[in-house]
Amino acid sequence: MKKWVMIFTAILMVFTLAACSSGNNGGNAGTENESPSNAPSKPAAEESKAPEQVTLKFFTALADRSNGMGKIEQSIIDAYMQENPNVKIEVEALQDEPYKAKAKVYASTESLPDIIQSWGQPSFIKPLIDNGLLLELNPADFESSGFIPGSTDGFSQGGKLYGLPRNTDFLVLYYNKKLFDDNGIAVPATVSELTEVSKQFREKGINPITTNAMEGWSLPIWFEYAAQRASGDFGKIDAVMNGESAFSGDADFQAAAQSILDLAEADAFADGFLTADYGTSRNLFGQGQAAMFVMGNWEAGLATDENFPEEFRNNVGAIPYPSSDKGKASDLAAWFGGGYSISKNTKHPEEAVKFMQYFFKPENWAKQLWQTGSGTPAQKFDQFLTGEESALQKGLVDIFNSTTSASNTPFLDLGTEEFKTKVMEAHQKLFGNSITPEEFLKELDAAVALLP
Amino acid sequence: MLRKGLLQTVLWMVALLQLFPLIWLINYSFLKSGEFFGSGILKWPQTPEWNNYISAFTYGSVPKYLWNSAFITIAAILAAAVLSLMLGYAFTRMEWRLRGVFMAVIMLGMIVPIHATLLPNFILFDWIKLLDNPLALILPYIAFSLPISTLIISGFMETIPRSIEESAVMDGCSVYGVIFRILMPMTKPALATVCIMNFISWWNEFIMANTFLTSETFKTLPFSIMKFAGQYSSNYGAQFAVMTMIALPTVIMYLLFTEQMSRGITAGAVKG
Amino acid sequence: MHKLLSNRMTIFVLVAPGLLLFLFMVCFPIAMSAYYGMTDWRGIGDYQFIGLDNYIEILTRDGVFWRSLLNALLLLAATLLIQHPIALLFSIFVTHAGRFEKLFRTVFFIPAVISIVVTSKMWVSVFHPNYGVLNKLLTAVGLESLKQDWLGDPSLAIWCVIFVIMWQGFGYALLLYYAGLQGIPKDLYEAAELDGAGRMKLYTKVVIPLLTPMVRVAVVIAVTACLKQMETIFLMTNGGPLNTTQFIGNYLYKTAFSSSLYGYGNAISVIFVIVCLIMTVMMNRVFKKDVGEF
Repeated sequence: MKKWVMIFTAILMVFTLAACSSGNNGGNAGTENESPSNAPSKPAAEESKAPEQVTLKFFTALADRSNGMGKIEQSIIDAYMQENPNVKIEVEALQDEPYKAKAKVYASTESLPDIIQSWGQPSFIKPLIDNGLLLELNPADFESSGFIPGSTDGFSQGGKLYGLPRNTDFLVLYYNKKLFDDNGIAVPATVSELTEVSKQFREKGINPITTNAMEGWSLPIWFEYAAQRASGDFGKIDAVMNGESAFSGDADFQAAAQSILDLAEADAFADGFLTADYGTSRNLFGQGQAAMFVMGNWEAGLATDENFPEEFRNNVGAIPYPSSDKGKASDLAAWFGGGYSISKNTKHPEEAVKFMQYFFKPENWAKQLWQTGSGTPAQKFDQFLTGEESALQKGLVDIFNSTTSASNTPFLDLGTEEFKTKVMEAHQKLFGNSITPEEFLKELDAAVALLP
Repeated sequence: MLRKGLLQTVLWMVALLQLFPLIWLINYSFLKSGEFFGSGILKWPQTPEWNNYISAFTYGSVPKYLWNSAFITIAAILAAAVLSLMLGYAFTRMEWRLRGVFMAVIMLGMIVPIHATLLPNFILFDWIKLLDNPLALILPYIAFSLPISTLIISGFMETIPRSIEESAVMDGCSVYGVIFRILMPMTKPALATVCIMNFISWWNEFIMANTFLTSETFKTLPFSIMKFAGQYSSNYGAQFAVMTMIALPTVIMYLLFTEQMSRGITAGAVKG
Repeated sequence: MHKLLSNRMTIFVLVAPGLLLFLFMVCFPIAMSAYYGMTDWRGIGDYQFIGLDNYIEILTRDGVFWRSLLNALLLLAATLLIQHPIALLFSIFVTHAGRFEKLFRTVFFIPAVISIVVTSKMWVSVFHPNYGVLNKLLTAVGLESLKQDWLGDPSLAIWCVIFVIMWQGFGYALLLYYAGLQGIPKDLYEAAELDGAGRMKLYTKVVIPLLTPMVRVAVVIAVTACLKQMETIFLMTNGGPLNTTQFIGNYLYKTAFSSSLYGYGNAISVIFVIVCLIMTVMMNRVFKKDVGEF
């Protein structure tokens, strides 16, 4: 025991000492930081020698490599390596949130992999562009890819292109037909029906709605629906973001927040809602444990994922978010989402661009994505319609084709990361029924106030 | 007698609570993904789903991560053992004025939370180009092993009579000779303890591994479950198989060296 | 001999490698944190020196930080008031377990050697409201009304997490007390038995007082372990729902890597270290009082 006492006394003595040395080191840290870290800028001249071995690091947020989009992405990469034996593409894949955290790590050390998944949204791409981390792309290189007009806007800044969109995204309500039929419950067409239906499912002991509320990004998009259904206009949130008005005190936003609270009070959100991450919520729905799943159109692969029972796969459908007397079902929360950018520090810019050209050839990404029912490309794809699409896929196309107005980039992605975190946390509180509509709107305004 | 029986029952029940999750883990690693959602608690699979383990090996890159983990952990624990042996000797045998202060500085490491160094070390490793290098893990692992290891080893050294060393020096042995030829074999029990304790903590460490290692090449085993959970998130069976494989090495290691482990904790605490 | 042992060169060779590595990997980073904590750095790009703004913000306005600290104290209270008494009791039980003594000791410690990655994922599954074992078990024994959304309920989640941490650390605490019991001379028991002292009395009057040093060690270890808690949280709830299970380690990680507030995160790191030091000093004070006994 004596020794312990001695040690702790000694530690006490050291406090002062440690404090002194901290001061000194702090000074060092400052000076060292002033020298910019040496970026690996190798002249591109070496590459002219023909069969030089090239390794491209490819960093993607399509974590599931055996299903859906991740599988297609991987198969295009594999095919490219087959055709170009001198190119090796190393894939690093992480789920959304870990992906973004890791991307920040790479960015802060200026060590971005050669090709990264990016989002054409200010919260993600703007800091990267502003700090000169992304390679400017030449739109002419990708003319034959047939990108939908407007789809590259989010990836552009100052008239320069820094990325290519992979998908057209929109948020829908997936539902399990069998659970509805077996329980004699009708598919909801209006917002109030959605609340009603949720109550009915609860009575039967079935989870009504699930989504990835733990990560939280689907909730603000969901709220955009609620706000549009209350006001009839997606533009109202943009007006707030532009500083023209505020969330607080607006009757429509108030009503929108209330409509979410109504759902919460009807116990519409699945058990464990706030702790369900993407995989958990998707499994809950896919294993028939929840009747509805609020998620993007990229989940068309639900109908083909063999980890789920056949009964589910044959019964999964998609409907637009229910309407109201002001907002129509055809008013869609839609945006051009994920895509790719190339790192400015890449040692092989030409090879990276070449691979991207290959990737975005219409018969590669667009065709495979569509024909496997894994999502909707941001490229023209009408030539690839086969008429053999799954019912779920057809449902999704119908929803998209009938669009009358669209929300564009989700508002949580229009600011900084800090803004986004604050917005998501406010939504988690709202959906978790632990905040009043007034407090919720105030928190949103506080988040907006953080924006430069 | 009755009391004895009651005592045994209580002990068995708690033992079950401590073991149950492990049993459950292994059990479920043999089930198909769909079977997870039934109502049973433990289920005997009709046919054990060895496929889960095959998927774990192929998709989870288990062999590669296993090797990385083994390499990084072993490098760190060996270096930590040698360095703390040297420090222990300097602190218990050498005669110098500042030894109390320096010993205390090192002991400070037992208080410093490892997570407080995550962010600055990240920048630091970037400056010295060590990100994505096994050293980015090995160095902090060693550094954070030193306090407790040095404490245990010096505690043990205090119990060794100095006369042996003195006679060795008479015979012309240098201080280094004394440490590595005479004391090292004698402190073997303490060294073993230190190594095993460090093995278990670093084998299981993943926050640093997740932050400092960026490419697949050097990832360690605990990471495979994170990767697996993302990449094959709907394949529950295989996830459980990976978890079983992460858990087993330390459990086996522990079962083999239970005595050294227990003695280590005894040494670390009682000697104090 | 004395000459040999006070040779400066030898001392330098023995001490320098370990000490330098330690200073470089442990102390220097903390100094760096103190520096970055005074900036508004967002991970990339330029930053400005903003003095103590971050520190003031954390200490005066950051509810999540205080919640994290409160959670650490809750965990500490639970550890000291629930886990440790039970561990002490069981360490006594184990010494009386006869031929199973070693078996129990081994089994109780097993959770402590399993990777937290595994145990956390495992408990998340156990607590899952729909397919988790816990709710299934409650249904099986007819207690359906007690079924809960364990980790999803903001008021319950912290207790579930605390339970898991205590579960995992139980064997460690037990082993400490067990080791302490082994250190008590056997003849003491015999002497007490000869005196005709009852077993209860033997423990309350003789054994437990002799264990006091070990209790102190265990408390010291528990305090630092509770403050430093991170992995289990990171993997089980990531601080959610609504930051109710947040701990400082996880919070600083989240702040730096999810919200990109790198400077702010570093400031949290520094305060974190200071809190740990203060707690240690406080305990030192408390224990110093009765140093005289030894």
